[in-house]
This record gives sequence, structure tokens and C-alpha cells, in this order.
Amino acid sequence: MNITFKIQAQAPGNNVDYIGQVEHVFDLHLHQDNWTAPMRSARNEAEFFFAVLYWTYKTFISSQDIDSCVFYPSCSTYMIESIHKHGVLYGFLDGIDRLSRCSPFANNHYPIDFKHKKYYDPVQ
Amino acid sequence: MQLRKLKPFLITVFSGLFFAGYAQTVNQTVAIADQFMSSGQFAAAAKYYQRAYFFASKEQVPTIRGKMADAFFMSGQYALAEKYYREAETFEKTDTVKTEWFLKKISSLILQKKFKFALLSILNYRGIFTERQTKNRSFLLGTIYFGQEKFDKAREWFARTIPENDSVKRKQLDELFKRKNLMRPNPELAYWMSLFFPGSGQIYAGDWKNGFNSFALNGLLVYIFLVDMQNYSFWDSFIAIYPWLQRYWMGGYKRAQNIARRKRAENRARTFRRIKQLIYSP
Repeated sequence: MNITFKIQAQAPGNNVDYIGQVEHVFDLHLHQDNWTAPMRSARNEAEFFFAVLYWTYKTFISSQDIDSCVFYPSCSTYMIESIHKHGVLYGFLDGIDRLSRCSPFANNHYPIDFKHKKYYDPVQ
Repeated sequence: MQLRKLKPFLITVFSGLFFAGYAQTVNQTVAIADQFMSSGQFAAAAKYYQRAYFFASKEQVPTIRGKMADAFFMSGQYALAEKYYREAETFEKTDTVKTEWFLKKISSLILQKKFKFALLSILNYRGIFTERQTKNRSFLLGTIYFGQEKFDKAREWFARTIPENDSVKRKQLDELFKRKNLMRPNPELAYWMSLFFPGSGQIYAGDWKNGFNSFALNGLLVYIFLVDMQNYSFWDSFIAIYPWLQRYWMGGYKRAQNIARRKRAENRARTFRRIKQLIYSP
């Protein structure tokens, strides 16, 4: 029995280099947090002071901590965002309020952010 | 009032447009998509191909489907690319073109990190391969084993892509598969190092800054612990400082493990890129 094969040089597509794409399959796409952003967007000296505190905490202390905050965004980020949005006094108090709410018993009160596997509580 | 005066004029103009207007043909849509594709706007191209695919005639479908799958592939939508490559492969009559669709489908699976499924598909495929396709098949098989961390098998398949008489390339391939490129830094070792001496695991993994940071923070807490113990009592110091110390100590060794994992993954990615360049370099 004779078997015949059909052979064609080129597939009728766009001639994409699929091997070239596969080259990057193991590349890491890491998300880099930008902790200096609040310093750049500070509107006055007090906000800048809190932004420096935030950067120092994130760089030297939080970077060594276990992942203990139950919320997304984390309490420190929440406070700096609140300060930027509502001003230093209200933002600081709002941040303290958030810290008081941050505990494993915070369930049933917040929606879950499935991407970060935390309770979702953004600045209002 | 003014609009009412303009009414006859507007009606004339718009009814003229209505009769003069016509829809974009499938070929025109494909031409636009081709332009997007050649200018590197793959996501936009995929949308236009999708539109053309929906309205295409039976004869136009195979060509548009292939192009659409390629656009999805290049725009990073690998699950959709895989779906349309599979369709293209199923309906293709020419053997080597069928194999080409198949290899593209395998690439889509690999890029989705579905290594087991890709392996199962590639080992079960009984198609006809050209010389170039055989080389690509071996490379993709090597990639799958590389992704599954079966490095001996990966080396075996990568070696098949290199001609027997090319001893230089074979030697370079063996060099790339050395332990330091694939297995280091060891996350478990980094974990245990930081557990016994804070910061050492991070330094071993190559993150000096984080290592010194961890050492300084934990050292400071130990110092406060000792000073408190001298001034008050062991239990006072234990209650006040130990929770903090434990927290940052634990954070340190877990982080050391994560840093080592990330560095090892970076090393492997770099090694894999070099392997690809070695195999496909002239």
C-alpha cells in the first residue's frame, strides 16, 4: 500500500517566530512597589515628612516582617493614601483607625481581594 | 429654530450618506488586521481578525483562523491561541502544515506553563515532521522537561537539536547544564542559614542589602532584649521584646527562602535563554 504525504513549506498564517516567544517562558515578571511615589506627590512639608516615614518603614522594617496585615492595601499604604487624600490630621487618624481594625477577626466585614488573598479595604 | 431651518439640508446630506455608505468587506478587514500585525499591534490585529473570522466565507475561514491564532499568540493571549491552533490543526489537510499548527499549539501550552498537557500532546502526536520541525520538536520537548525541572531529560532533548559533529556546541550545552546555573542558590539552605544566623541566608542568595538589614534589625532587638533583661527581669524582657524579635526573625528566614527561590528562577531563565541562543545560533 502506498502512503502519500502532502508537504508544504509554509503554514498559511503570519509566519510568527514561536520558538522566539518560548525563549521567554521562564522570565520573571515581578511587580516592583514604588515606595518613593508618596514623597514625589507630597503637597506640603507635613505630607512629605509622613512620606519619608512611610519609605523608611517600608524599606527597612516592613521588608523584614512576616506578611501579617490582613488588608489590601496594607495599613501603612492605607495611611499614606489617606493622608494624601484627606490631609495630615484626618489621614493620620484614619490610619490609626485602620490599624485598630487590622486583626484576624476582621472577617465578615470586608470583601475579599482574591488576587492578594486579603480583605479589601481601600481609602474611602 | 435654527435646527428647523437646517432640517432639509441635514436630511439631504444624511440620506445621501446612507445610500452611498457600504460595510467593510472581509478582505478589507483582513488587510487592516495584517497592517496592525506587521506594525506589531498584535492585540488590535486579533480583534480585526476576529471580526473577519465571524463574517468569513467557508473558503476564507482557514486562512483567517491561522492568522487570528498567530495574532492571539503574539499578543500573549495563549489560551485563545491554543484554541484556534488546535482548530487549525484539526481541519488542516497538508501534513507538514498540520505539524506546524501543532508545534504552535504546543508553544502556546508551554507559554501557559501547562507542561504536563504539552508533554502528553507532543509524545502522542504521530505526524510528519520536516527537518526544521524535528529540531523545533526536540527543542520544545527539552523546554517542557526544563519546565518540569527534569534537567537530565531536558539536556538529552536539547542535545538532539545539535548536530553530532558539533562538539563545541555540545560542550557549551554541558557547561550550561552545570549545577550552579540551575540549582543555586538553594532556597532550603538560605532558609536554614537565616534561621540560625539572621541575614546570612539573604547574603548567600545574593541580596546583601536585605541581609545586612535583617542582621541589623534582629541584632538591635536582641540588644534591647539583653538590656531589658539586665535592667528588669528575663520575663519582663521576654514579654516586651520577644514577640517583635520572633516576628522579624521569622520574616527574615522566610524572606531568605523567597529571595533564593527568585534568584534561582532568574538563573534558570537566563540559562534557558542561553540554551535557546546556542541551539538556534548559526
